[in-house]
Formats: sequence, C-alpha cells, structure tokens
Amino acid sequence: MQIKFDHVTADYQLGPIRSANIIQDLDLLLPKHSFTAVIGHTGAGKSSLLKLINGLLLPREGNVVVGDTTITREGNKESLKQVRKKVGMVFQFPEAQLFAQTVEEDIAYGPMNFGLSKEEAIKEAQAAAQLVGLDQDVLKKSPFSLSGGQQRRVAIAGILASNPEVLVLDEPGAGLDPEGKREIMALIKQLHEQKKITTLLVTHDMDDVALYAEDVLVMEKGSVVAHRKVRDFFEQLTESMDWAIELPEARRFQLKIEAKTGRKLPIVCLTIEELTSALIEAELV
Amino acid sequence: MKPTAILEVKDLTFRYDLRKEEKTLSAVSFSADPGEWIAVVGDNGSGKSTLSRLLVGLIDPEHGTIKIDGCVLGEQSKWSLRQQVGIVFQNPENQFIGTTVQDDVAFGLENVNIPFQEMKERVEAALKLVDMLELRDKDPSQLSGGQKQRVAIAGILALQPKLILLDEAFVMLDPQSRRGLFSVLQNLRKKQGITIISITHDRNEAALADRIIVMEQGELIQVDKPSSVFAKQEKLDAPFAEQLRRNLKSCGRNVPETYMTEDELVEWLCK
Ligand SMILES: Nc1ncnc2c1ncn2[C@@H]1O[C@H](COP(=O)(O)OP(=O)(O)OP(=O)(O)O)[C@@H](O)[C@H]1O
Ligand SMILES: Nc1ncnc2c1ncn2[C@@H]1O[C@H](COP(=O)(O)OP(=O)(O)O)[C@@H](O)[C@H]1O
Ligand SMILES: [Mg+2]
Ligand SMILES: [Mg+2]
Repeated sequence: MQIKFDHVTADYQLGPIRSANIIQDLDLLLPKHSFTAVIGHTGAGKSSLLKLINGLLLPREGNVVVGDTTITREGNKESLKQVRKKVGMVFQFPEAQLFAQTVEEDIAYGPMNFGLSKEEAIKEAQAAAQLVGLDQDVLKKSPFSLSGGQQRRVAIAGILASNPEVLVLDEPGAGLDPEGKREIMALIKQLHEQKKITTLLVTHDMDDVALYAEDVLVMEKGSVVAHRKVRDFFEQLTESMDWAIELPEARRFQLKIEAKTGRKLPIVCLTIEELTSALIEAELV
Repeated sequence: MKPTAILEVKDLTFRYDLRKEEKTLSAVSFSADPGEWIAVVGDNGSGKSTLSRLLVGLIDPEHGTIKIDGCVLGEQSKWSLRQQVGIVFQNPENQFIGTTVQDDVAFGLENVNIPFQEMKERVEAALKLVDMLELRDKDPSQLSGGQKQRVAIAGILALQPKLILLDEAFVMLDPQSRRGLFSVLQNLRKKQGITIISITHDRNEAALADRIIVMEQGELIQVDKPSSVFAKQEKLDAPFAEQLRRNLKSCGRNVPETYMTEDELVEWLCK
C-alpha cells in the first residue's frame, strides 16, 4: 500500500494555544511494499510523522493519502476508521500498554475493536501469535509474567492480528537484549517480505538501517532532508556528515582504517561480513 | 591506597513473589569505588532493573546489605541516602511530576535544603548540560521520547548525587545526543568523582567502562574489566572490533588470539 504526503503541515493544538509547526510542508511518497528507516535527532518529528500516517495526528494543511484513503484536516470519521485498520502502529515501548488478563485476550483486543466477534478475534490472535513466534502455551498466561522480549512480541502480535497492510514502528528494538532485538528485527523483515507489508521503522541504530531497510528518510526540524536508497545514502555520507548522522559500525571502522593506511578498500562496507571480506581482499590481514 | 568504596553490595537476595522458591536476585555482591564507571549487562529478565531498584531503596532485599558511602541503606537512612543516589529509569513515561520541564527538574531538589537562588542555578545548569534549556517551559508530557529522557537525566544532574544509576537511560536517544551525554557524564566523573553505574545493552558503551558486571538469571556471574569479560563470556555480544577479530579468525586469518579493543585492532591491521 502506497503512502503519500501532499504539502503536509501539522502541529499539536493545545486548546486555544497552537504550538509551532511540528511537520513543515512535507511532500513524501512511500511506494507500496517499501521498507523505509526514519532517522533524525530527538524531537525532529519522526514519531509525529508516524502518527500522521494513522490519523492520530491530523494535518493542518495538505493531506495524507494511505492507499486510496485520504486524511485531511477535518479528519473524516469514516476515513480515519479505514486508515487505522490498514495501518498498524507499534509505539515506543508498546508493552507498557498491555492490559488484559491473558496474552490471548490482549492480542484479540484489536480485531474485536474493529468489529470481529470474540471467536473470530481469538482465531486471528492465535494466528498472529504464531506469526511472531509465541508458543501456544504462552497464550493463557498473563502478559505481565513474560520477559521483556516476549512482551514486545505480544504487543506486535496485537497489531498484526488486525492484518494491517502498513506497519509503522517506533524503535521496536529499544530496550531489548541483542539477541531479542535481532529476533524482533528479523521478524519485521520477514513480515515485510512474506506479507508484502509496507514498513516504516524509526530507529537510532544505523546498523538496523543498513541491515534491514531498503530506503532511508532523514528528518530534521519537521522536514525531510534526505530520502534515498540505504546504500547510496551511506556511500555518499562520509566525513562531511551533513546531518550529523552516525555511520553503520562497519563503515565507520572502514573509514578509520582507510584514513590510517591511506588506501581505499575495494567496496563500501555496510555490514561486518562485507568488511571482513574487504579486509581480506585488500590483503590487510 | 585504595579509596573507600562508595557502594558496597553484599549477598543481595530478592524475590518479587515470596511464595515461589525461585529468586529474582541471588547473593549478588560487588563494590564500586568513587569515580568508577561500571556497566551492567545481561539478558532481559536477568535482574538488572531489580538490582537498580534495590540500590535506591524502592524495594527491600530479603537478605544482604547495601552500603552507600559507608552508611547501610535501611528504613531510616533511605531518605537521606536518596540525595546521594540518583536513578534514571528505562522508560521515561510517567516519571514526571512537574507541569513544566523546569519545575520537574526542580522537584527533585525540594527535599534538599538549598537556597532558592542556588536551586535555580542548578536547574538551569542541568538543563543546559542536557541541551534542554530552550524547552524549559514546556509541559513534560508533550515532549518527544528522547527529550523526556533528557529531562529525566537533568533531574539527576541537578541533584548532584555521588552515585548515578542509569537503567538503559540512553535507549531513546539519537547517537549524537547519546555521545554528548556520555561525555557530560564522563566529565562529571573526572571533575567531581561521581560514580556511574550504567545498565546497558550497548556493547561499545560497556567496552568503555572501567568494569563490567555480567548478570545471568539473577546471579552476578562476573565482574571484571571489559577485556576479561568479553574474552570469557562467549555468549555475550562482543564490541564491534572484537566481533571483527573473531570473524577474521574464523576465515582462517592469522589474527591475535585474544580480545582486542578497537584501537588495538586498527593498529594491528595498519601495521
Ligand atoms: N503531544 C504533544 N504535544 C505538543 N508537542 C509535542 C507533542 N508530542 C511531541 N511534541 C513536540 O513535537 C516535536 C517532534 O516530536 P516527535 O515526538 O515527533 O519527535 P521524534 O523525532 O519522534 O523524537 P524522539 O527521537 O526523541 O522520539 C518535538 O519538539 C516535541 O517536543
Ligand atoms: N514488579 C515486578 N513484579 C514481579 N516480577 C517482576 C517485577 N519486575 C521484574 N520482575 C521479574 O523479575 C525478573 C528480573 O527482571 P528485571 O530486573 O526487570 O530484569 P532486567 O532489567 O535485567 O531485564 C524477571 O523475571 C521479571 O519478570
Ligand atoms: Mg519519537
Ligand atoms: Mg530492565
């Protein structure tokens, strides 16, 4: 499902007081089936961008088009309902919002909310649990008895149970141990590939960007300052560091070696595997 | 002469559910010297946050003692010791009390007897250190995730404690802010001898600590300098340079056998 921003400006209105624009005249096209990483400073507007996609924040000017549904400043009820069904949103620390007695009920809450009967919703919940790799025996447990990594899976399953066509995730790996994080990221990648879900991922980890995303979108003060293929982006981003963006570990290490030896490695390395072979090929080891 | 420890933890044991045999923490002991930076690593659920809650007296141990600056932490001493120990939690949501960023940072100081003028100065200085001075009149609930985290850190800096506990306090920060705050804390440590205990999943951050504590299922399984920890704990994700060394090794390359820091590996590759 394609997402389009057409001259979108947005702010958080607080009663009669209007805050400064959080999103500034933004034009953006995210093709269907794309996997985009959103990066940028704290406060740059990344989470606000995600909220515009599922109508939690409404544009003050311009409109957001998700598939064939248009969100405008009026926030038409019917289109908001459609959009929330199509766009699954995983918040920062989503497990903080788990509430039900059992994992199954928690996951089934979304589909029931969208009008499925309890029975149908439980079916969807079971399928979603399987999709995220939760064992059947976990379903009857209290979500609060689970580990951090498992709770994160429950929260994601709760979103997937409504079969979204777009998935927007706000730092889904934050706070997980390295193993747990790799599992969650692999899961997101797999969903993207198998179910052709259009994916938008906010992350501060440039290795995630290099490993999982296809495109990268850099936000700064409410605007998009770059939107490119991941490899092109990191290839061009060298010492100049236009937006004070960090490089993936492998690339950072590569530049250190190149500066010290005065020799360029054969390729631009974004992963540890690439760097390993490049070092061997260059006979540095 | 070895300085006297700022923190001494002995035999710390804790269970959330007393009906169960299984312990959340069992017999954890370690100590920290003034000015030391200790990283705590371990899988989710290994007891890291539980340890930090015990250290600030939010929960009470079943066994064992905690001594802060020579004083045993207990019902009586808890309140005065809270001024010595500042903690920043993992998830900054719901940690805010004030209606503005500035009030929130000042709130922590209300129990400390200091003149208003000094309080004002401390709050400003702390907000400046975390780069949030501009947003001081904002409602904390309306901040972005990373901004909230920075306000929480400012609250602790204003308190000027002897010991700072960071429970994954950097997770929501962008790399640049993370590096900025890291060096702010390093400076405080050097200038004022503040001790820092930082719970983290970031291996590169842990590699920079003086010592690392490794937690596994409620037990402290190792506390040592980073090179020894990463050499011994094979299950632990190593820092990038060490992973690279291992990769080169398994490709049959003739790299040194033991743990290497980034500088050592760069040096070795460029020899
Ligand atoms: N509910 C709100 N009311 C008013 N202002 C808000 C609200 N939420 C966010 N803001 C402001 O909007 C701007 C963008 O915030 P946003 O949450 O989109 O940032 P972000 O890029 O996601 O940052 P982070 O990486 O720290 O999560 C910030 O200046 C923030 O203070
Ligand atoms: N408030 C609580 N009540 C009951 N059990 C808890 C509570 N907090 C944590 N636990 C349990 O204690 C264990 C250790 O958790 P925690 O200290 O949060 O680990 P970590 O911070 O290393 O991820 C886990 O099994 C967790 O489920
Ligand atoms: Mg955010
Ligand atoms: Mg924890």
